[in-house]
Amino acid sequence: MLKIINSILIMTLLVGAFVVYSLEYSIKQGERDIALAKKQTLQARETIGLLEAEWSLLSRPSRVQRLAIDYLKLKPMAARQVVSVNKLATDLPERPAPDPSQTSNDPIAQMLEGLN
Amino acid sequence: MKDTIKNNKNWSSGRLKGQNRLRLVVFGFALCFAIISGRLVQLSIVRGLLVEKKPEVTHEARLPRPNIVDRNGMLLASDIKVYSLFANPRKIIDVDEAVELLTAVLPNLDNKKLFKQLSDRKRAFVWIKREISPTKRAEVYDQGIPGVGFRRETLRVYPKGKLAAHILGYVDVDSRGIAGMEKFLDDQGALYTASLADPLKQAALPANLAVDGRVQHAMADEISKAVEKFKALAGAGVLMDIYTGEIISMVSVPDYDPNEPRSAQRKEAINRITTGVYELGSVIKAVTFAMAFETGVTSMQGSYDASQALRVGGAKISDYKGKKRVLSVPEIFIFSSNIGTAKMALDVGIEGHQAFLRKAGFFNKLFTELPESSAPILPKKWTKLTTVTAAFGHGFAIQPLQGLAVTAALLNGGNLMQPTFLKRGRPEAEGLATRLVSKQTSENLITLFRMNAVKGTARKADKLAAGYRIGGKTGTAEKVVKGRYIEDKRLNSFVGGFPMDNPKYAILIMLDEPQPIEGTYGYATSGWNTVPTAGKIIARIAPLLGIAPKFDDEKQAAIAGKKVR
Repeated sequence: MLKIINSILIMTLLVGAFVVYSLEYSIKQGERDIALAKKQTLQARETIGLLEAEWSLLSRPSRVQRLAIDYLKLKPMAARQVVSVNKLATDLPERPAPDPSQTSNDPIAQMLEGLN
Repeated sequence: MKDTIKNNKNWSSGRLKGQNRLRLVVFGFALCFAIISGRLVQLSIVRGLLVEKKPEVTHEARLPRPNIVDRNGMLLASDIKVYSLFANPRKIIDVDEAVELLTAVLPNLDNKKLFKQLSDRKRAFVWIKREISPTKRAEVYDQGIPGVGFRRETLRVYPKGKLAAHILGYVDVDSRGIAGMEKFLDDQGALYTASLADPLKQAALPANLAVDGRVQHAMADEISKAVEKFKALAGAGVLMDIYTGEIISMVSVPDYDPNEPRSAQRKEAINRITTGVYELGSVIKAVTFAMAFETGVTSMQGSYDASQALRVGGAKISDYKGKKRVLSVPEIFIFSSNIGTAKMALDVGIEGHQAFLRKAGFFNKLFTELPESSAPILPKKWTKLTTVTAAFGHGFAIQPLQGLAVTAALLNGGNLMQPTFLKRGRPEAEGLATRLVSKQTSENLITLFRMNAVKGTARKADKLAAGYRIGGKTGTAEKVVKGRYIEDKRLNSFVGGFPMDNPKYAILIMLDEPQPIEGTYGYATSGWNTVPTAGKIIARIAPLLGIAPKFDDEKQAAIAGKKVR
């Protein structure tokens, strides 16, 4: 009787020890995963910050203005060119509807095609 | 139970003694284990809870700073993490190889200097290059040179360069704000807040400025062009939302790049809008008119005799290109008659005049978020002559921003707003505002400003910004040099607003000593330089501010024709 109880106890002890150790190892692994994820998040945030700063640098108005003057054939918009929606029908200049297949007189479309 | 008791009784005293000793040992062990487990529970659970509650503040060499964004969320100032390359010469094995590898990745390095640095065995630390890019850093890493390492540093960058530099200010090498909004943020404890922010969660909230980056650029671009074109010493401009007091744009040329704080310390790079104080000249006439309407000494139907120069206390006040006749009140405004305006101020009286200027805030230093602000320069004794000259903006010097704030009050129905560089809502702004003039006075001034743009000295601006219904007053103030007014050294200004049928924005443009150039027929008064500059600026910024152009030519003519004979 005592032997059976003892063997059960030893078995329980072994199983218990195994469960506890495997738990501990999985927790340690989990902690490593968390630390790694935190580090990666931090790095990603830093990269985002850096990219945002770079985007802000590249999109600074003085540079965009210079590029627009150098590469676009567009002119600054005049106040007379602004037309309200309800005047659209009457105020548009007489001009044939643009043919989508013919984009020859659209400088931006030409440029976009040239890029491809 | 009974058996055991019996047995116990049967035990000899010696065995009983041994048994008892054994029990004592068992009890001792049990006690030790109990203490150990109790301590374990205390350490792992109780103290674990306590430790977690403590805030963790990490101290870096440079304090983190919050981002600064414009009113549309455009990034104006940011902290970025950079890596600086250093070496420990004692640990370097092959100096030649190290120099060769490093210069291969970083071609800007000086070979000889680097060799000398790395050969110096007495030192354990030398900087090779500060602030290198992440790609270069990876390349240096890949080379695996012994004795070379990186330190992470925080660097404050202003990606937009000179844009809004006078608003942003700059920081010193230790990331402490020493000018502009950067200093304001420090004073508000923003650094402390940012240092507590968990970098894994959202970083500290960005500081949201009232400035609009696009408008700021358009204004800076036009003012720089004007300074160049008219060979002026400097130029400045400021735009304000008249209902919230927000400064949408503030430009002062020459400016500086906050990425190079040293360039900010040049004397000519001061902010002329808040740091400089100037005699604004005729643009102040609008204030005198408002005062005259408010105290009831005259009305839009009134008139004054401007046929002869006004003599006060030995000084002679005359008009620039005077009409030499009786002028109606609106005519005094659009011909910018010194005589007429001075007579209005004299009618109000010295005390009344002083009281009104004090109410307008001209006698006190204007405080905004920017630390750089100057107190006005006021006459020591206020005489009749002082009132006469102050009526047309001479004899007292104020920050141009003060002049604009009062103009905004004349346009928005009479509320004097506290100017701000931070984004603010209308209800909040109105809570801080004080009433300067009545709604009727404000309406009269709007009419006068618009009339001056249609028929008066600001015509060129209206033509250049056609459709945006601008209105304004010009000023050509002679500068005081060694206590005397010099005729060909001028400070020209334009102050106005748009769109005048329902004003939303007030604007002030200044040029310091513009010269007559080809195309201005020898003139260098405000109408020839600041007015067209203002026109060009408004034509560029009005679409950005969402103001629809209107071409109701008949209505314009009606407004202009109604009041002037």
